[in-house]
Amino acid sequence: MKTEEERKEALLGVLRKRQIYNCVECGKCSSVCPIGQINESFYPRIIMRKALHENPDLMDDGLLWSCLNCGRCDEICDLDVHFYELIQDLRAECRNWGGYAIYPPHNGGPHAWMKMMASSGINQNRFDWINSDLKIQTTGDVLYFVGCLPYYDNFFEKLKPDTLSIATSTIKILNKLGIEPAIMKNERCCGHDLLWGGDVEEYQKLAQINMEEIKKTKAKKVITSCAECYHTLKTEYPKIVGNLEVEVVHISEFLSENLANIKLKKLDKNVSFQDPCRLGRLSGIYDEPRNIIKAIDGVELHEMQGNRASGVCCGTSGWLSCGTYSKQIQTARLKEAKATGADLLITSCPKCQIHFKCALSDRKMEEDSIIEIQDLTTLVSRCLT
Amino acid sequence: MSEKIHSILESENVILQLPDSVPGQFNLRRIEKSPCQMACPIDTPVKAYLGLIAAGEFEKAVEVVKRDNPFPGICGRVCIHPCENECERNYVDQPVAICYLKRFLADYEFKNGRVKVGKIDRKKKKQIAIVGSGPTGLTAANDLARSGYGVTVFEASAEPGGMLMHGISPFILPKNIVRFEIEGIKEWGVEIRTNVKIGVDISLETLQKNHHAILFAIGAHKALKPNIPGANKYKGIIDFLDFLKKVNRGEQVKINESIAVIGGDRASVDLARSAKRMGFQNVTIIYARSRTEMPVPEPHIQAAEEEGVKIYFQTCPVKIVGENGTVIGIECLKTESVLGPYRGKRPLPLQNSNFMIKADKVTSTINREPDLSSFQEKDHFRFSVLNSFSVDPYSLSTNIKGIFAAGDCATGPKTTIEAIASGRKAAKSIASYLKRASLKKPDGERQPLEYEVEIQQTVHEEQVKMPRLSRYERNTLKEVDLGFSAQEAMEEAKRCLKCGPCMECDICNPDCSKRLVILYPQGETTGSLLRVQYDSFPRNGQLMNGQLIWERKQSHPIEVKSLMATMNSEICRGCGDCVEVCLYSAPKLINRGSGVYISKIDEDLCRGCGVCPSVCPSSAITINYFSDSQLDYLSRESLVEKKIVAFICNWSYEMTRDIEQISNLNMIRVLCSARISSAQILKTFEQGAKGVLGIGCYEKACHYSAIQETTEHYHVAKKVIQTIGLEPQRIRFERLSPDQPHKINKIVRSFCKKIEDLK
Repeated sequence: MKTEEERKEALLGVLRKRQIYNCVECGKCSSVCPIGQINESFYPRIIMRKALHENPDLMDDGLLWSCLNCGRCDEICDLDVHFYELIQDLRAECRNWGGYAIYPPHNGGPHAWMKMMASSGINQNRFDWINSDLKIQTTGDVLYFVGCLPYYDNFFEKLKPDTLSIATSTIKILNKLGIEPAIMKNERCCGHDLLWGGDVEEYQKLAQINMEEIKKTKAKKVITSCAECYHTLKTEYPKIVGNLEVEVVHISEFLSENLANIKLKKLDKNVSFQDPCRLGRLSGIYDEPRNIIKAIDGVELHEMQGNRASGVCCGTSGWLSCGTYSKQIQTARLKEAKATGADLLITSCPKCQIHFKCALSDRKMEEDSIIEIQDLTTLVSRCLT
Repeated sequence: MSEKIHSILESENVILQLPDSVPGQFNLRRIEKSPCQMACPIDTPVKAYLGLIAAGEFEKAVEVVKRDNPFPGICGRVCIHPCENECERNYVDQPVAICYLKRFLADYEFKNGRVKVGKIDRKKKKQIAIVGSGPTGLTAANDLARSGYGVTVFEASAEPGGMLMHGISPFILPKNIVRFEIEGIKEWGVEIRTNVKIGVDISLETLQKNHHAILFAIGAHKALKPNIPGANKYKGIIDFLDFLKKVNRGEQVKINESIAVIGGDRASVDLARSAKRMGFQNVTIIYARSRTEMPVPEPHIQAAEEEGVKIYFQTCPVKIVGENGTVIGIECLKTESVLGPYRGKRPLPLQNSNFMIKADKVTSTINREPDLSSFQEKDHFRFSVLNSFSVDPYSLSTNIKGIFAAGDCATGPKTTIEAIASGRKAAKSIASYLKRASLKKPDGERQPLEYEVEIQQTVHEEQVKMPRLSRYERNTLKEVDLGFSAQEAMEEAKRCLKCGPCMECDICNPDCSKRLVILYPQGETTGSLLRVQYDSFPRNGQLMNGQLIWERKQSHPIEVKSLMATMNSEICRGCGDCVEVCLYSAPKLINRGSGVYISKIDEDLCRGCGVCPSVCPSSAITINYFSDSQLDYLSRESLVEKKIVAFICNWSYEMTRDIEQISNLNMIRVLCSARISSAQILKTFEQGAKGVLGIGCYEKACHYSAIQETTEHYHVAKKVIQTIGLEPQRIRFERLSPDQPHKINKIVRSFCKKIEDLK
């Protein structure tokens, strides 16, 4: 336990770093916050007020862990106050004196394996899912960064999220484009969840190890199929390791550039698209996945009311909080997707897929929100000739 | 269910024990009891069996009742139930029908076969003679036989049971119930010899020669005539015990037109109702006080009135009037209640309010005394002024060494439950006497306190009505009260307000020798130790073992909760996973409106096994005293030195005593192995463990039968660590039966060896 002064000092450090004094408490952030719409005790504006009053209680506030870091507030703020980044720093400070998410979902299991990866001496068995149809190599110009997909399929066995199909589809697509991607046997978790969970030290270890591993493959381009990996590698890694010397692209970016080189067969489907926060608002990639969907003959894209920058988060982020509010966000989002007339919801983040599938596995789910979920890569690989 | 209790720490230092090295976890000796238990002369844990009935665990409830009372069926029918008078529910609507619920349990046992409770202690050579087989004698015989002594009961009449057999009418207490419960006592090895009168068939000397201790529990079977003019003058004044004896034996009673019963206790009402059934036309009861003061439950008064018994309240008899040598009536005075000089009300006769009650027969149930005619002067017994044995009030020993007296013959006429209590007390001091322990009252014995209960707003809910024979069917000796059905009993038991923090139900740990959560203080059978929330105590951050004397000066409020799952409704997603895994249907999905569901846990049904928190995706459920953070702390602390963690189920843990020498192994005790989720196992590895071993029970031996989930948790964790590059052999889950100490030894050793080899 630190003294009151030390806590205040730490808080002030964060506040100065994030320039929150721009805030005029207009409350626009609260008006769009997806959690604030349901949970009456969580409003970004209230947290901002506590911050402006330099109230050290903020550090112990359990609500700190409710934020989804979805960036809706950032999008609407005219005054350049980055609320979700403030939350990130406050969580890191909170961790410094032993605080933690009060109710980490899944009993904190995902964080456990992520932290286990932060040691350098491990030798993973990540290739179980690779079959002879997939052409891969250990070094090469193009690297495919798989992410935690092999772990999700094991840990959420009961839920059957089938996230590994994202990896196999991605490799199939790349093979079709004539690329044999390199994949790393000892790739680590990108550290996204630890970073947003305030475990900065462990995150930095993961980032260092990953960069070393990437260097070993002599890759010039890193392709990710996960929106969170993409954002973390592209935007967060340079903050600690400096210039990456590799280009990071999301599979949707890469594919939309190469659409001319790939032939897709017809598929009659009405689909809708869920913008992952890390790909959309945090990285500004809106058009590429839509271009790909539109390129498939017969597939009709029905936009939900909240799309692109006003898209709603899938309800949970970083395995830090999940509860009745998350569930309500998910249900509303699924209902919205179904109401467009679509029978398939496309996303390009495995986490969105897991969270929506979890909501769909509930016993009391109503008929008007039951819709199939698929990743963009899976959809494309279905249409490969 | 949880409340802050300061008063525990108020009077003296309290001993806190730190069980099984759970850091910051304390056991606290409970000196408080619920009001019903305080009121009970034999200290029955009422709340415990009510809770079990509410949960539908009838057999376990019978066990709880029979731990303290060999006569649940009898008490459930005739007890004056002081517990109900003290019941906190009185301040809301009506008390919980504790007595009827006990009777329900006895009926359950009667129908479904005897429930055996506990076992006989080590056999001892000493022999004890008990004279009299009433409730006192048989309770003492039961207790002493269970402690391992040889017990012989001598009964003067043809059938054992004393007042239970002869003094209570069969429509209130059917004799097959009495026989059934006496059979139960015989099963402990008690020998009952009937038709033997001490002083006539066997002399006291012979008895003393052949036995190491003697208990007189001969009751008070001599009814006294009313102490008013005319009582000895006329014919027609009858002995009420004789009358009841005849009724009970099915003998013919001489019928007259009318009978007047003087007195207002249960025996009076009982006698009047019997007389009505025997064929008396006019039956009256004369009682000097008011209806509310009558020590008879209101349903019995009502039943008597329904059956045509006329009760004169506030009436006192002054003279028995006769003609030609036989009784024709009683002259009475009206009375009024006035406050007595000391406390309470007393009846004051009103001048000039004389009136006559006509009666051919008169009987009084007011007084009876022991029949001491068979004792002679050479026996040197000292008797009291009440014509009963003069005994030491604490030890119940008479003036002759080795001879004790209990029950009505020592205390004067009392109720059944007091007779049972007296028998228990006598058994205790006889055991001390035979062990040559002191019979004096120990100094500084702490008296239990009553919970200070605050009643919160409670829903008004009337007692469940006892089904009875209709008025028109009551001309035979068939039992009037028909008893609750299982449904009714559960409904009634749910009315209990559960005063105090702990349910004392013991379902979390039914075997006395393996208590983890609720412990009994030494030498007591009903006091329990509770677990105390650790954050109310100052901590020094170290693992502490042994005892800690808590000083009053440092008293902090202590939060006491029962060991069960609690749901955070803010976090619950309402997915229904907990509903699916719980075998006791404790969690239920509740619609909060607009399609939002949350799960709610029924406190009465939850057993705290911990399978629901281990499957909850949003970590909304936690187990009191077995929270995830506590488990984290336990494994983290132990992993500083030891590298293998074994999560061992509560019921197997006892067997691990001889394997604690393995230096690299730390054993963490959990209630059920299903409490450990796959994430918990992964976290243990993340903290630096080299291996995790889980030990649970076979499906048939499992106390919670959460078999499938446990296997899945270990399977998932295995797959994850395999992906990360660790050997799957580092996780193992084994099942065994808690009576296989060799097997557990073998499993643990082979697992530790395997982990050593893998390094």
